[in-house]
Parts: sequence; structure tokens; C-alpha cells
Amino acid sequence: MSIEIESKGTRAMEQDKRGLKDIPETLRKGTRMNKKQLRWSIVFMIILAVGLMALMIFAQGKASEPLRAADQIALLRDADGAERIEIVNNSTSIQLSEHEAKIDEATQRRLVLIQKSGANDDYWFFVCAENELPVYQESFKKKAKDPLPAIIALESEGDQILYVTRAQDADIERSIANLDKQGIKVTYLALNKLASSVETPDAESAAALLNDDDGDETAEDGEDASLGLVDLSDTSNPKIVMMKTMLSRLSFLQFQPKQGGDIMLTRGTDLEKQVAKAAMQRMNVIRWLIVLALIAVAGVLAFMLKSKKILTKEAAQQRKMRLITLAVAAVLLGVLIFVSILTNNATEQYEHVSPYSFNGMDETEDAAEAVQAEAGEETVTFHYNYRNGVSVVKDENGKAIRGEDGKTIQQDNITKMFVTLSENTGRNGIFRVIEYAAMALLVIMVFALLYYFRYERDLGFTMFNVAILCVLMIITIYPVLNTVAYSFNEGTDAARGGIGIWPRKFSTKSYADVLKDSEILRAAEVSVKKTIITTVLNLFWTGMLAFTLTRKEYVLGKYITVIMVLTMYVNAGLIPNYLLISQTLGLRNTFWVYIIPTMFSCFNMIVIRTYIASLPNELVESARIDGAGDFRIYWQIIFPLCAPVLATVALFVAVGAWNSWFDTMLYNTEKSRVTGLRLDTLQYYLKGKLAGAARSASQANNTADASTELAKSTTSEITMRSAVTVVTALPILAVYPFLQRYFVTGMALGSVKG
Amino acid sequence: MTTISRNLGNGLLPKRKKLGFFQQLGKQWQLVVMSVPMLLYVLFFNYYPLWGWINAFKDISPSNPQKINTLIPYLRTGQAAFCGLDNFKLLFTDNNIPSFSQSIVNTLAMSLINLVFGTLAAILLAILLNEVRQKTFKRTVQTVTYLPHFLSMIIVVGMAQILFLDSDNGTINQLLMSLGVIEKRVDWLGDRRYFWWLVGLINIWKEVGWGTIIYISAMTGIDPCLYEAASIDGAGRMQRIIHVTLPGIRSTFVILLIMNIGHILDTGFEIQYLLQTPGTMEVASTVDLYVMQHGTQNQDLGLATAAGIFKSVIAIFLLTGANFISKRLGEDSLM
Repeated sequence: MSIEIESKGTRAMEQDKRGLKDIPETLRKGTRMNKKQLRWSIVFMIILAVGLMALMIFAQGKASEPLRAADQIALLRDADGAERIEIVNNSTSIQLSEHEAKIDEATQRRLVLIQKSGANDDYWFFVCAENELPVYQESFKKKAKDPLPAIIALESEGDQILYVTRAQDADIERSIANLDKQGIKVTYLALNKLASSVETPDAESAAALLNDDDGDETAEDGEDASLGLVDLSDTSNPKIVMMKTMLSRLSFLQFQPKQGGDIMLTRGTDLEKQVAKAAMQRMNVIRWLIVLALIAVAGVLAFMLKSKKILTKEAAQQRKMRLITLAVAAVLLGVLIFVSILTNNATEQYEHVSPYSFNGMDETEDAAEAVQAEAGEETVTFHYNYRNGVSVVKDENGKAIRGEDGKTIQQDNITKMFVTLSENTGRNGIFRVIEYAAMALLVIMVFALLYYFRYERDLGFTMFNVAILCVLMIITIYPVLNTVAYSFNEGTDAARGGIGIWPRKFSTKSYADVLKDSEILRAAEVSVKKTIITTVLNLFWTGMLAFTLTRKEYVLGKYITVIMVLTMYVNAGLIPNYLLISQTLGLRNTFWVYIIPTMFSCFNMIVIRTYIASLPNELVESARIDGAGDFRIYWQIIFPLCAPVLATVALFVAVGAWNSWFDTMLYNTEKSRVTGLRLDTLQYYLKGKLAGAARSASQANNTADASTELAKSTTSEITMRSAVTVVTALPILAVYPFLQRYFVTGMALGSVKG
Repeated sequence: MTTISRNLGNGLLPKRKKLGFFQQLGKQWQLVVMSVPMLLYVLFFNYYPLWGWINAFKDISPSNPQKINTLIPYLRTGQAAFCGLDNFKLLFTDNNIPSFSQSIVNTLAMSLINLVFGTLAAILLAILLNEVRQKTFKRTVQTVTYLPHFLSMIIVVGMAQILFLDSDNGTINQLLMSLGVIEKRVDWLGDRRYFWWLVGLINIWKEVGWGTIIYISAMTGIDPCLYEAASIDGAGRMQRIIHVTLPGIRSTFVILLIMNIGHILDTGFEIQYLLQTPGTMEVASTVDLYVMQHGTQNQDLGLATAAGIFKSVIAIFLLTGANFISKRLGEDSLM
């Protein structure tokens, strides 16, 4: 018994000792690395980081190959002479010879027609092989739940071609107007219930439908939507021949179930997409293997940092520590990996990069041109205005195909002509290396932190703490870095999205545009003027007022204080103030509306007053005895002493003035009454840019207004917006890190009374 | 001694004459010059507009437009007929979308989300920061997390809208989809279910770092002996946090909580105005936004002023109530 008690006592004493010194005895003795070990572990870390980098680059290159390899347009001629144009993707290991074999398979593809009959005859039809049919049926069933695309019917000389788009209504209407000018009759069918039910294939009815010149005659009830199979090789029907050309295009027009927005056009058939997806999954597996390896390494390292003795008294505790270390390292690295996935182009390719995004107009223009070609015109022109910016043009026999970049692409015989469509859509090699270097550095940082905190008593808590704070920092800073990265990216490339914290294609063009824009310069000038004048006036008056209110002998002091402080609680509200400024004072559309109403803030006054009150009163007393008046006391004694607090308040006021936008919106949306120039501030200018973008991005707004907004916000504007954002935030971002302590002091001062 | 000195004073020094109020003021003319301009300014810009509340009791609406004279608007609007409390009645019976009562519900909901989660997040972060021993690391974290406070709402909302919440290319959708949390893209901005939480999230992102300052300064005020004593008694990190740190910031917490409750109707309108879409118009409208839209856009001055007064009056009640409670709890008075 007594022995037990004693042992307990000693343990408690040990703990106390530890608590006081904060470093466990065992850790101090057993775990401290000597210099050699330290050096080697650093070398090890660097090797690890470099290896990791290489591995990731390798892994990415391998796995994403099917996605990034050049896509090609193939002009395929069937045995009966009918031409088809198809985009093939040779990276799905379809070699040329194999592809010829595939042509046969392709001719066996059937025309699948889905008809949803109703008041308007709505069709959707495409080419697919028989074994693909269940896949499509499945996807239709899914799509039936989604908001469904609209169908555009293009009519040319009695022939009707239907297009399925997911373009926004405004886009479609614009396109239709455009096509009308070209003399192409367009019927626009808003399709809401396409393929609401997919029944068993009914070849006869579909064929019958197709052979009818007028679809109306086969109009049936909504329930009888049918999925039909039609033999494509029937070339006697000119309509089928024409449709074959169009539909072979439709076969690779896969519409992504997106909400509103663009038509998405993917490269491959479903099979190809599945291949791509599998490749992506493989890549993710590799990524996860890397993560696991990293965690293991972190564990080993943690183990190295700890005692080599495992079977000591603190064994249990140490094991716990090791586990915690492992867990934290896992969390950190997991976060890093996710960030890298986010910033990783290759991962997004399946979803966002490989689909060529058309907007409605381009797409229907394509259709229009194709229709013209079928109607007997000689030249077929395909504009693939996808976002890499290459267009492909084909001459009358389909022989010369050239990219719009000027390169005439070599032609083959007609049956297999391949045109390289895409550039390497991966990001620039050097940037990728830098990005991985940055990632590797982060990993090194994690280990350095591990190393740094190795003497902490409760390592687990510290690690947890540091990990959480790191994650928080990432969350806070990521949007800012992301915006900067976008602003330095090339416009059309940025529109594809998926940019992380490093630009994919570096370009300073958006900044050049920003600097050229006279409106922005004007706005910047207004902003700067507003900020400076407001700050100076505000400080001038507020400082003096605060000084007078600290003088105990000032007879009005009490009353003024009450009146001032009450303004913090009593507020007339927006409308009376609005009337006062715009009607009574008539300050609308003048520059002074920025200055005059913002000249006083009670909070700032209190901050300054608190500071002045903390100064020794003897300063004032002795100056008074020397015969100084209050002006002199303030300007020559108090004011210089107040420099820190005045700087703080000046920063608050300046930031407030710089960041305010509502005054512009309320009072100064028109040109100045005095100078005739616009009075937008930078913030308001930015708001205009963002508002247009947000509207087109999130909400289909069918008004004419919205369509002009849409027209304004073209795809490349995301870089422009980012650049304006950066310019607007720049003064603050540039100044803030250096002046941060002033802000914090001010906040602390204010909180004394606030 | 005292008697002697008094006698001395009575005998030797001339008796100090008590100056009158205006005489003193005259002597202090320099102080007057320094302070009275601002006094007049405040009286004109902060108190004079209170007269504009009279508009709430008058029939000024788009259907009954009054010519507002530019010189003395509040007197000239006397042309409009008084309509008693009609505007206030209209507030609660209006058919506007969003309605005023809906706006109040929205305001309260967003305030509460902000209050609860914002405070919790700030306290948590402050505790974590307080536990960091390494000065440089601590300062770095602080610098980074304070940053968003200084970005304007336009920038913040713009970043959120275009880079993160955009249903097509937004990072959030991409992340969630790559993690397999959601199967198809979610229209965050267009769906009214998410709006309040989005506002809360953005607000917390922007302000959480800044909100820690006051708690951290409260924590630095805690006597280090308490920590030492606790650790001698065998308290671990968590126990020290629970039993020393948290009680140490209790009074700060209470004061801030009461103050925030006093300002619960002041969610403002910036973020809501910037973030709203046609689909979320109804849940986005706060009292301030309601006032702004009816007053400055629809020119429905009577109704808007009434809404403003309603808010101000409730705010005054809340503030005095908060002040009272704070006094009763033995904390500092707020005013």
C-alpha cells in the first residue's frame, strides 16, 4: 500500500516538475536531435519534397494523357459515299487503323429518335450504337428530372433540323433574330418535358415520323413519347442523309446537365468519356497513394523527433502523441492535396475544360452554316469557336481544312482527314512546376512546424491548434490569391475556370485594358480625391473637437459630449438624410456629396478623446502658465503627441471612404452638375462590372435589359473583373500589412469606451 | 493648520470671483471656435433630419406625388395632407413583395445567424490564437485573418459570387463535386434556402478575425498567475482554457452580446443588396433594404420613413433595454 502511495506521489511530483518547466524530461533527453541528425532530416525532407514533385508531375502526365491529347476532327466517308464529320479522340487509343474499323461500327449506329408529342412537336434525336442505347435511356431518365433544354428547330427549304440547347432564353432569342436576318426560318420550341417517359424502342413509329414531311401529323399524346431506331444506311431519303450529317455532329454534342448558361459540347462519346473518367479515377488513386505515403513519412519523421525508446514509462503517452501527430499531418496534407486538386487543371478537364463551350449564338450559327451547305451551297464552314480560339474551315470538297490560326492543316484522302483541334489544354509547364514547388514548400513548412514544436509539452494540442490556424489562413487568403491569379490569366483561358492560386496562361492584358480605360482612371481619381479630402477634413475637425472635450474647464464640454454621444444612438434614418442631402442641400451629382455628410464620426472622436485624456494633464497646464492659448496648445503640443492615434483614425476614415459605394449609388449616378464628368468611384465602377456578371451567371432574366447585360459580360471578362477588383483593393492590400498594428491599436482604444 | 491656511487665504489672497457662464465662454473663445463648428454640423446633419420623420405621417406616395421644394423640404411637404398612422398600418398590411413583416423576419434571422455563429467563431479563434506561443506565427495568423475586414463589401461579394458560388465554374461546386458531396451543381445564389446562411458565411469570413481583437485584448488582461496556479494544480491545456480563459472573457462576452442584441435590427443592407438575385429577393430584404427600395427607388417616401421610424424606435428600446440589463448584471454601462 505504502509503496503505491509513494509511487503516486513521485509521479505527481514529476508531473509538477514537468508542468513548471513545460518540457518533459524524457523529451529533453531522449529526443533532441544532434546536428548531424538534423542535417540529414532536412536533406531527407528536401529529397522527399522534390521526389513528391516529380511523382506528382509524372502521375498527372500519365493519368491525364487521354484527356489532354489532341482532339481531332475526322471527316469520315461511308461506303455509300455519305460524309460524316466526327470528332474523335485518338488518345483513347483509337489508332488510325483501329478507327477505320470503328467506321464500320459507326455505320451500324442507329438513329435514335425521341419524340415528345404535344402542342408542338418536340424531338430529340441522335446517333448511337445499339449497345449504347441503355446508357442513353438511363441518362434520359435522369434528365427527365432536370430542367430540360430548349429545342430550336431550324427550317431551311422545308427541311427541319432540330437543335437541343441549354442556352438561356435571351441567348436563343438573340440567335434567332440573327438567323432571321440570314433568311433562315427558325422555330423556337421551349421544351420543358422532353423525354419525360422513355418507352421501349419503336422503330416503326420513329421511322414513320422521320419520313413524314410534316411532323404535326404524327402528333401524339405526351404519354406516347417514343424512342425509335432508324437505319442510318437508308440513303434514299435525302432527309436522312442530311440529318446524318447533322446528327453525326449531334452525336458528339453531349449536353451537360447544367443550370442555364452555355451549351456544353464534349469531345467524346459516352464511351470515351467513361475512359476518361476511369483515367481520372486512376489519377485520384495515385494522388491518394501519395497522400498516404506522405502521412507515413510524417509518422516516421515524428517518430524520429521523439524518443527512440518505445518501452518507457511514457510509452502510452508517446503513442498517443504519435497518433495525434499522424492525424494532424494527415489533415494538413489532405487539405494541401485538396487545394491542389482545386487548382489542378487536369482534374477539371473532364468536367470543365474538355467540353467546348459555345454560347447560343455561335452554336446556331454553326447550324445555320451547315444548313446552307446542305441546301446546295458549295462551301462548308465550320467555326469551332471554342475557347481555345481555333476555328476550322473546310472547302467545298472537304479537302482543305485549315485552322483559323493560319496554319493549313495537311489533308489526307477524304475518308480520313484529321484536323488537330485542340492545343495542349494543360497549363504551362513552368507554372505547373512552380505550383508543385509551392506545394512542396508547404509540405516542408508543415514538417518545419513539426520540428519547431517538438519540445511542446502537449504536442497534440499545439499541432491541432497550428493545423486549424493554418487551414483558416488558407481559407482567408485563398479567395484573394485566386482573384489575383485570375486577373493575371489570359482571358479566354480563364473563362474555362478551374484556376487556383497561380495563373494558367500568364498575361497582363487585362491590366493593360484597365489602364487604357478612361472610365476607370476617372473613377480612380474620384476615389483618391474623395479619400484624401474626407480624411483630412475629418481629422482636422474631429481632432480639435476631441481636444476641447477633454478640457474640464470648458463650460460647453458636457453638453457637447452628450449631444455627440447621442448621435450614436439616435439616427433619423436613411430617408430623412437622403432628403436633407439631395433636396435641402441639393448636393446630388456633385463631388461634395462624398465629403460633406461624412465629416464627423462619433466613434473616432471618442477614440481620439480617450487618447488625449490619457496624456498627462501637466502638459496643458504648464503650457497655459507659459501663456499659450488653446489653439497653440492643441496644434503645438497635443497634436504632435496624438500622431499615433490620429494615424489610426486617419486609416479608419480613409478605408471607410475608399470602400464606400452606397453614396455613389444614392446620389451620384449621373454626371456631375458642375464639371459634367461622371462621379463614379472605383467601388461603384466595380459594382457595375460585378452586377452584370452575377446576373448572367446566376439567373436567367428574360428582360431585354438582361440580354444587354449578357452581351456586355462576355466570357473573357472574368479576368477584367478580377483586374478591376485587384486595382480597387490594391491600396488596401499594399498598405495594410504595414499599418495593421495601427488598426489594431485603434480598435483596442475604441473598445475602452465603445 | 487648515484654519490657519484658510485665514491666510482669506486675508492675503484676493477672493476669487466666480465668473458667469458667458464670461467663462468668452474667455474660452478659442475652445468655442474649435468645437462649435462641429456642434453645428452635428445638429444640422444628425438632428435636423429628425424633422423629416413628419413625412411618415403624411400621404406622400407615388400615387400621390408631392412637389418637394428644394429649399425647406420639411416645411413645404406640409402641402401633403396628414394621414395619421396610415403609413404604419400600411406597413403591416402591404402587398409588396417582399413585405415589411417578411423583411423583419429576414433581418432577425440573419442577425441571429450572424450573432450566434459569428461570436462563437470569434471566441474560438481568439482562444486558439491565445494558445500560440510562437510570436511570429501568431502575428502572421492575425495579419491574414484581419485582412478581409478591410476589403469592401463589393469586393467580397464579387469574389464570392463569381469565383465561388457561381453554379458553373464556382470553386465550391467544383470542390463539393470532386469530393462527391453533391452530384450536380447547386445554384447557391439563386436558391432562397441558402441565402441567409450564405450571408452569415460571408459575414463570418469577413469579420471573424477582426472580431477576435477585443477578446484577445481581454485575454491578455487575465492574470498569468491564474494559469500558473492552474497548471500547478495539474490542469491541462483544455482545463486551463475552460476554467481560466473562458471566465476571463466572460464580461467582455456579455457586454458585446448585449450590445449586439441592441443592434439586432442593424444588419444593414450592403451584403443583402449585392448578393440578392431575383429568386432570393424575398428572403434577402432587410428592414434597411426595404426602406431604401421604397424610399429612394419607388419614391414612396411616407411608407419608407414610417419603416425607418419603426426600426429606430425599436432600436432605442433595445438599446436602453440592453443597457439596463448590463447594469443589472453588474457590468459596465454601455452609454
